[in-house]
Amino acid sequence: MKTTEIQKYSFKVLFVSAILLLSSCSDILDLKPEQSISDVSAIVDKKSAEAALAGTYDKLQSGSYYGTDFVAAGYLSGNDVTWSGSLNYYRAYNEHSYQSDNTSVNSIWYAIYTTLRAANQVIDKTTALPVTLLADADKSRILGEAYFIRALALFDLGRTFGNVPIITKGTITVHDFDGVKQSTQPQVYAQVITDLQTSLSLLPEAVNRARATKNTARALLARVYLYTENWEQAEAYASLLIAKTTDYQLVDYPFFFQNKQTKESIFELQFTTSDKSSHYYYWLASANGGRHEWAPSDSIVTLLGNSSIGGTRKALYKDLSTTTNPKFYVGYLYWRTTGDDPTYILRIAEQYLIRAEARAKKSTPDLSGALSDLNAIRSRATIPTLSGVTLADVILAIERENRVEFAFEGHRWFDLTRTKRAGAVLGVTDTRKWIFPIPYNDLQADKDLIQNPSY
Amino acid sequence: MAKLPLIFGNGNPFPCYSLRKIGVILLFAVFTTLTSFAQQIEVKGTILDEGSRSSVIGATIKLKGQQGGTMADVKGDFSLKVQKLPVTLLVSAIGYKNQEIDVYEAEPTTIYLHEDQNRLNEVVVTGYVQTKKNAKSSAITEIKSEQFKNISGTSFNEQIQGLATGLLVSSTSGTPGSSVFVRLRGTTSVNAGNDPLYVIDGVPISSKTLQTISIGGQTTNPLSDINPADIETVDVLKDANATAVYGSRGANGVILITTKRGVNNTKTKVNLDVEYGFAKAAKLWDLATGPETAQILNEAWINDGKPNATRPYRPVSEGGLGNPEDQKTYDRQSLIFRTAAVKTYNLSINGGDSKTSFFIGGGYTSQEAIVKTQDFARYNFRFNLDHKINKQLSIGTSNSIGYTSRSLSRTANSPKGILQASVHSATLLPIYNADGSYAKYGIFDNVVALIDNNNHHAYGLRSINNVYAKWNILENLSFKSSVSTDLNNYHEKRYFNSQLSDGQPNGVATDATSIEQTWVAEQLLNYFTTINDKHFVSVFLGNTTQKRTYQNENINGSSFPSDQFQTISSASITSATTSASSSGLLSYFGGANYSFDNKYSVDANIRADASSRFGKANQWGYFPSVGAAWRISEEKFIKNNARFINELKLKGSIGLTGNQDIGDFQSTNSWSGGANYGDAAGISNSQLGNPNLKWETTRQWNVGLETSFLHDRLSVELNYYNKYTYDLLLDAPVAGKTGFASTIQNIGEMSNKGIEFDIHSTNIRKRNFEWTSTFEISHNTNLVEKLPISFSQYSRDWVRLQQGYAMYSFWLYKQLSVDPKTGNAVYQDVNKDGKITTDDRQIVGNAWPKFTGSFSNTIRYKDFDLSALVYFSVGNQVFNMNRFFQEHGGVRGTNWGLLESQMRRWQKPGDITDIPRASTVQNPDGSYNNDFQSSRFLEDGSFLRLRNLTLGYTLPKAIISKAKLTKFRVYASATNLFTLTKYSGADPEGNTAADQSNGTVQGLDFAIPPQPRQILFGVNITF
Repeated sequence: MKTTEIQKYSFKVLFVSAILLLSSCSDILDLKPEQSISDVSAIVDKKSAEAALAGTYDKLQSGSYYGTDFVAAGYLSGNDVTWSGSLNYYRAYNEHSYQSDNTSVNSIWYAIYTTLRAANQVIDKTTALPVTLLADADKSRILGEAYFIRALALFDLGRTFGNVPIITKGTITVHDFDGVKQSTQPQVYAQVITDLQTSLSLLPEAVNRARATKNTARALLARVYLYTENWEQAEAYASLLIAKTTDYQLVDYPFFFQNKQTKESIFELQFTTSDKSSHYYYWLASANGGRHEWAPSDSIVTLLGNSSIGGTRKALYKDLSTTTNPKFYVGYLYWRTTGDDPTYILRIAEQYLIRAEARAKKSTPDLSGALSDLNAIRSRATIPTLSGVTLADVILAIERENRVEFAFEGHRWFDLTRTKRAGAVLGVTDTRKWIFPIPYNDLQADKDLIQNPSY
Repeated sequence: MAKLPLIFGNGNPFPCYSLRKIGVILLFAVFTTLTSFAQQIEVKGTILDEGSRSSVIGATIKLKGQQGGTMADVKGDFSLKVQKLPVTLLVSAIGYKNQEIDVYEAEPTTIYLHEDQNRLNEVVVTGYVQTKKNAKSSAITEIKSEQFKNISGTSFNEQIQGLATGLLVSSTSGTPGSSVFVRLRGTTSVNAGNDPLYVIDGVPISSKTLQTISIGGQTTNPLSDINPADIETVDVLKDANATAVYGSRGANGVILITTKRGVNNTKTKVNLDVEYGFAKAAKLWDLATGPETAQILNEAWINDGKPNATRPYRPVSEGGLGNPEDQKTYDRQSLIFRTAAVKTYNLSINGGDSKTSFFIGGGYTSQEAIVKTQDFARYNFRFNLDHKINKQLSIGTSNSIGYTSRSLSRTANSPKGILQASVHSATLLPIYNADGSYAKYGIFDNVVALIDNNNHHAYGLRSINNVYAKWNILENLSFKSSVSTDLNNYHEKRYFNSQLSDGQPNGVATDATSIEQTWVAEQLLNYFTTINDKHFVSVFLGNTTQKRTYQNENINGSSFPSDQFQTISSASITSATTSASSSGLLSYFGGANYSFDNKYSVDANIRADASSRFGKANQWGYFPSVGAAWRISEEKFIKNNARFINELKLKGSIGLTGNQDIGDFQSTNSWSGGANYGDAAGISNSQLGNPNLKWETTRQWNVGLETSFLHDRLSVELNYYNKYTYDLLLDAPVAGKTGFASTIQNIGEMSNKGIEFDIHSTNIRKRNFEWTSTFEISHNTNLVEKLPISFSQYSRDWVRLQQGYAMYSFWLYKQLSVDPKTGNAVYQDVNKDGKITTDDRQIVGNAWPKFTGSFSNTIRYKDFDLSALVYFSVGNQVFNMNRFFQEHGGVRGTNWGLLESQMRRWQKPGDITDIPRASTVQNPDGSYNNDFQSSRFLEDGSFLRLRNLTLGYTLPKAIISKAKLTKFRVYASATNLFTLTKYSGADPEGNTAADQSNGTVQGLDFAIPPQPRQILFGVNITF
């Protein structure tokens, strides 16, 4: 090639090289997500703090927590609801054969810790906001609600799994809690009471059946004191709520679940048609849009159907039996196929029975007081009231009343384990099965965890 | 010359005696009918490439010792006038060896030319790389459209099963247009994607489904948007040297698709293909009858220790449901399965003058599924154009538009779906209630209701486009600039009316639209030169910029005025969600290769990629590779001493490739909306950040041997590879107490080692008779080398990822036997504590085949062609979930049906069987006999399948030329005619978890429509 030609081509090559180098734009490496924001800018003012708090209630709604599974674990383990579907990990609750690889046990564990984390993040980030960005009254309420949810989550962990790590800080990195070991159930309950007292001091005196107020904290405190056998405190907190008769009343039995936010409810977790609960789907028959994954047991059907035991609580189930499909019972506490059934977490009826039990079990038992609280529940269900019975009879009657009153609300299992009656009543004689196994998968991921005995 | 000796060629000893024997047997009858015809003066023929069977364009035909000659046209056809016969034709074409053919008769003859591997000047382009054809050091398999065009299927990736070594393909369902599982040389990743990169005419396309409405674990195959009839070749790039230039996207291999284009200076041709056929399931499920089901339920009742007097199936007079023998059997399978109709039309026109060439193609296919309620239709249009503006500048474009229309219904893991309603409902339960209404039991919907009221459709519109300009700056120096797009819209509509369980109480509808767009700009500078005839040098330098955006809107409505109103605007309750994301990729790449004397060659490539998906500090990744090849056959000691060797090449390569195929924005600690409570909009910490997130890297080396003997009639290729992936992008579990279940982290290492072997033989090559055979076999060993945490990949923990085991491993209780005394299952007590607990679960097997391969034969006799392809997979295990659910031994009660295999259960002491007694209670050791994660349901899924058998007949030219046609071929083709397998389910290739992102789960068979047997009749016309 001649020199001029080389020059000519060199020019062309240079031109092309320039295109090559300039044609790329590095903007494409600096994309911003449309759907999310960074952690540091998450909670910066009242509006974002409120949103994060709503996000914490949202965690309670999880299908693995109060959305379905946690509640189901309670009523299936209580043996008054029988697995009848396809997901055999629910059968394990009926048979108390849950092992550490149980899918449902696993999902409950993670869902509750997710709730705990969300509450802790709200507490940490909201506490750090200056008064210029968040007025004290708002801050106090938001923190109060977050402490309440944290207490509820820890309480549920404690009563379900027994020995669990207590986490009271928001997560920033995956290694934040390396080295945090499990606490015992009493230690967990102690933390729950501390958190509930904190929340009680922060929350406003108000009635809000969908969110935590002072009343909600009091109701849960009554229950936790009952679990910790502090009968005096349990009676005291229950009394505070029972006394508020304009705000909380025993309404007719089907009425409270045919409607929403009746005076029966102290805390019912809201669901809407666009933010659904799947509870109905597991209960209802296929023809009604469900999968009938579980059904009322023959024995609870017998009790609920008995006019002197179930009374108006018969409305909790429907008998759809046919000749080819005998004993076809369907629970109706969760009946809205639109998915907006609430989950009942705290009802005034429970406060009556808490107080009845506390009065019967305290050091100087109050038999008539206990009987009057029990009879309030019986009267409401239009079944005969009890009279002239011994203390032991009343205690047993309260246990039985709890069974039918909260048949599909998951109380029975926890009641029988806390009163150490699960062996006698349910035949679960191995007391080590009274708490669930620590999930196998988390034992792999968290070297600080130790499996509960017998699993 | 006598006829018979001709069978075995030009005196060359035929190397494979068993094949030779078969050849004699098969063809004796045919050849005895051979007779000579009267001589004519026109000699006609077709010139084809011996390997690929494609026409050799522009071949020169001369008469030996005489004047005269001609050239073959675009179809490889020629005709020549001669004075008398016999004559000897001298055929030559660039890139092929010259050949002499004696012509004795005036019949049309087919001449096969053999690639001349010694041609010095042939430069081939694969992807970005220009090399001497023989100098390639990479492992690349080229598949020609002829090899798969007769195999039925909606996409090329299902059609190429068994056609390339190292490529594992399995169709996860028999529903047309549904997902296909493709793995090239194993899996290199867990959560960062394992699909190969598909590049069509230079456009990297998305192979991720846009389906958002769940249909029970099944998904669509996005590659069925592309008409396989438009495809000319598929190149499968396997080793690091071939794929490193695709950098961050090359770790799983690259599949290059080249569509058909026009050829300059050819007559305009019109091709019309029409195909009709039908499909039917070859195998369904063998269900227990009504009486058998009742018998088992009674047996479980007694075995559980309950009183005989209250057994469920006792006389009605005793308050029971009737004795077992009184139960009826209701067949629900025949209600949903049908003989499905299939039809396909393709019309294309191609041609070109000296400056412009074009290809215009249109196609329509309509394929019913064997399951009523499902079908697939596709309308396609393609336009490819190339134009030379002047000697230096040329431009061109490739465009395709595909519109797909699907009718869908739920199969597999969907209790309200049609398959479970059909196969899993107990056979003793009536289909209708006494009042004639649909009877629904347990978790299932009614099968007839599902057929009658199905209303689920999906419409895809996809356009893949490329425009380029090429500037030949010098003879051997070119610059190419192109812009490409892959625009994909998917619209789904589903309505459950009030007759359906999921439509309660007043109808439920979903309407979803997804849009994915990819934009790519690419610049490529290419140069090659030959110095002193001995030194060949080629270099290239390029850059691509890519951006992908995704958005989805999902609208739900319920509570409709009546079933007549089905649009969401009529619903009284509506809700919607949206999602959007984007990612960007910036890349620079380059490479050089050098070969000396066509004997030794070396090459090196490098690519640098920056991805928006990683933390700022780790955005850039660098992926180099080197390779070398030595053509031993060019050495004098071979040339002089072993003349039967035509090619003997040793090649090797090593390099790095990457993977970044994770979700967008995974490195940031972020909060998202949608965590609402009541009326309050809520936010939540959706993901923990990992600012150190970086590329997953795969190191691969490959050594290979390419050989060819006996005038290229026998060729063998052998490759060994070793892939090692580190910094796995793993969605790894984190301590639950953090409030997160997992985060994406660079954790773990995985290896794939394998060997690939293929042999191609031209058993017989005669004027009127040709027989070729190809056998190929691949083996891959996948191993999770390092993983600090073991964890499961799917619900119920069937499939587990664990160090020291392969991916897709099954984590089960190992059933050792059924105790002949008690009838209880005996499981291995791994920790010997006397109890069967989670600690006794172990990895029992995996879904990987030990070998896959194929054996194909093509026979051409005169105008007839016959081809057969057998595909086999050996050693892959399948967890038969149908058995898990339907050998429930009474646990699942009356509603859930049983398989006939349940009848083999233990019944009385002394029975020897692998199926424990019917019982629902816990065994003394804590285990269960039934409904347990038992290895009893894990089966050998090995199979051998006659993938395709095609018989074609091409009408003689003499007849069709009167109708002004150049080609008229009729054929009959059968796909999946038979399958040999020990697997007890309907199809060993099924997978219920096909929608698991990145396909982390394999070998779970659960109520999946099997791949049908399909028979097609077709005609190809060219004029």
